[in-house]
Amino acid sequence: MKLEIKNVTKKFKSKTAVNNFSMVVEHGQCVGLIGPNGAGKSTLIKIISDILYADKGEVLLDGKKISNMKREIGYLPQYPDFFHWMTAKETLFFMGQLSGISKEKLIDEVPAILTKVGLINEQNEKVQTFSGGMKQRLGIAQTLLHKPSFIVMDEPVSALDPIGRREVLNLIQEIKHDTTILLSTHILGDAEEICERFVIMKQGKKIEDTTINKLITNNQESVVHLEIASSDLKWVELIEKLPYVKNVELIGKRAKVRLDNVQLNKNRLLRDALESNIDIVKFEVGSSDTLEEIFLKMVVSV
Amino acid sequence: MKLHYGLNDFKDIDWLAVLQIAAPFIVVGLILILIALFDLYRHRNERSNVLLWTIVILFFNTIGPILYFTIGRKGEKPNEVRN
Amino acid sequence: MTPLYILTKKEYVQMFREFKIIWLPLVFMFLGATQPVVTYYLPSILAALGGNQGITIDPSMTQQDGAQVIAATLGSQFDQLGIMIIVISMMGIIQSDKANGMLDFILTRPVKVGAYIGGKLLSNFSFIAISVMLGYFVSYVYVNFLFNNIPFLEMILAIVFYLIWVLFILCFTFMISTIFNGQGVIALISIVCLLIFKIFSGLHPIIDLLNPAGMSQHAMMVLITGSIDSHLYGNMFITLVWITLTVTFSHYWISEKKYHKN
Repeated sequence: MKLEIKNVTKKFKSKTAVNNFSMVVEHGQCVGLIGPNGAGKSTLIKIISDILYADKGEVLLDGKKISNMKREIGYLPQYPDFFHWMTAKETLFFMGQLSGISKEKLIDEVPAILTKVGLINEQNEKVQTFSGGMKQRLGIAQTLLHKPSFIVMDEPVSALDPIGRREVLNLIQEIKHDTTILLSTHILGDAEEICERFVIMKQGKKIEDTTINKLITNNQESVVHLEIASSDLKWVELIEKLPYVKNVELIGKRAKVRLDNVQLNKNRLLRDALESNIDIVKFEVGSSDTLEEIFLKMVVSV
Repeated sequence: MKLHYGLNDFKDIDWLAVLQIAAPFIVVGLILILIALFDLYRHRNERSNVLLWTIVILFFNTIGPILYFTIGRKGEKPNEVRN
Repeated sequence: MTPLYILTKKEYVQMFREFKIIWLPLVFMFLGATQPVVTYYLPSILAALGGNQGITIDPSMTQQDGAQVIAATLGSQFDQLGIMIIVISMMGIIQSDKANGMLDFILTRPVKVGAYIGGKLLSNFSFIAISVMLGYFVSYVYVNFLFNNIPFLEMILAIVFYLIWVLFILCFTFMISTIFNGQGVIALISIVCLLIFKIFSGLHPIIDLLNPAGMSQHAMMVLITGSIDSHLYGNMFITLVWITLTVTFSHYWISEKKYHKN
């Protein structure tokens, strides 16, 4: 199952939510769509799942228009909300039958899928009584029910508490082996955990399309992370004047020191510290930015 | 104008016939009241103004239950935690 | 198991769970009984209370024709309180699905917009039609019992015409519910428009021809005069056109996704 998004543009009155967006998702991939709030992620997801129409451009699944391929798509909205008066089981029967699954098959499959998402004990309870996490899990059950080859999820974990988040993330880990997944989130850590590939969006545009490894290598610059006792903070100002030190960033008790040649100069710096009788808490050589920082830099600066 | 009526004044009316005709009328009204009360009781935790609706259902004959069924059931609790 | 069948069934289950399946027919039965009973007893109640205080009622004036009473059931009970009850009980028909996202959700499944609309209209119209017919039948029984017999054929013809007007009421409310997002607004617009149609019926023959409420007028005329007015077929045709238009417009609105709040 190959998803192609071609030059999709969507405008709401004066605001352009999605601006000439293109990408291809290959079979079996798991892609995280990342961006700050209001970047147009939800709009794009809604266009992909045929809830909204694009003003320009098209979305193709295996070369066919998405509106003819609904059977192959599983969609999980940001806040899945079902009919309050239905029980969990009835909801799955209702959605399953709408997806064209026969009743006999559903009788076999619904309990299995409810067990998988951990709602088997609540199967006869009304959706009305469900918490956000339970609704999300019921939503996932609904998404998986018709065995789609492509699953789209809009912020599957953003609205959940830590426990619910963990449950849902584990569930996605489990299903990602069988299907192609596209999920949006504004929390990088979640995407990092599940997806290999990231597409970063800002103001409706694609600003980066990369894998986690590439992202880190590209942004890799070895620096020295220093943590020292607060009484010795003056020393940090002194080292900034040393010839081999490029610059120093100081956040609280932690300093990030960029050196000219890390391999060569890190020991000189350490020696300097020892000679100055500095109370060192931590001395570490590592990459300059965490994924979070890389992401922030991209979204804010580009 | 005469304000007090004796029993004699009502003798003209054939009460049995009235009852025959009015009985279905009363029964329908009663069933409506019972269903409305039952529904209100079942959802007592989700509705707002339970007491007010009980009074409306009981004392505004027929109109009370109709009002409850049409507009009284909107007070459903907002959805669970979203954020 | 077509989507149409599943969606229709879902509507019925919902009506059942919400007790609508009991209370709406009961309300119409109540409305149906009101007109004959009140008309019958009003003179004797007035007479009993008024006694010889000077309010005298001419018995020949008060003795109404049964046909007029049952026509009044349609014209002044069903067409006033009845319309309001239908509109208020149907105002959320699409609006609630829009509000909780179920409309979007259902349409991400391989379901045609036509099947969705069809399921809604089929289930709700059949249900309302049965409620109205029950109420009408109760009125008919009371009239036959308290007044005089009404010819069976006229009784059937009248309710058939009246149900076309009811179908229009439903489709009109359906369209308004598709377009607007607030329940209050939907109820207000629908009730005001439908009551205006009703008020304008019977004023001028040309207006009547175009007015869907004319079907209610024709239903009453069949009962009272026992004959079919020559404008009936024209009016019926135009009402059916109006119904088609409202449904087509709703279909257009949903399939073009115009219902999204931007």
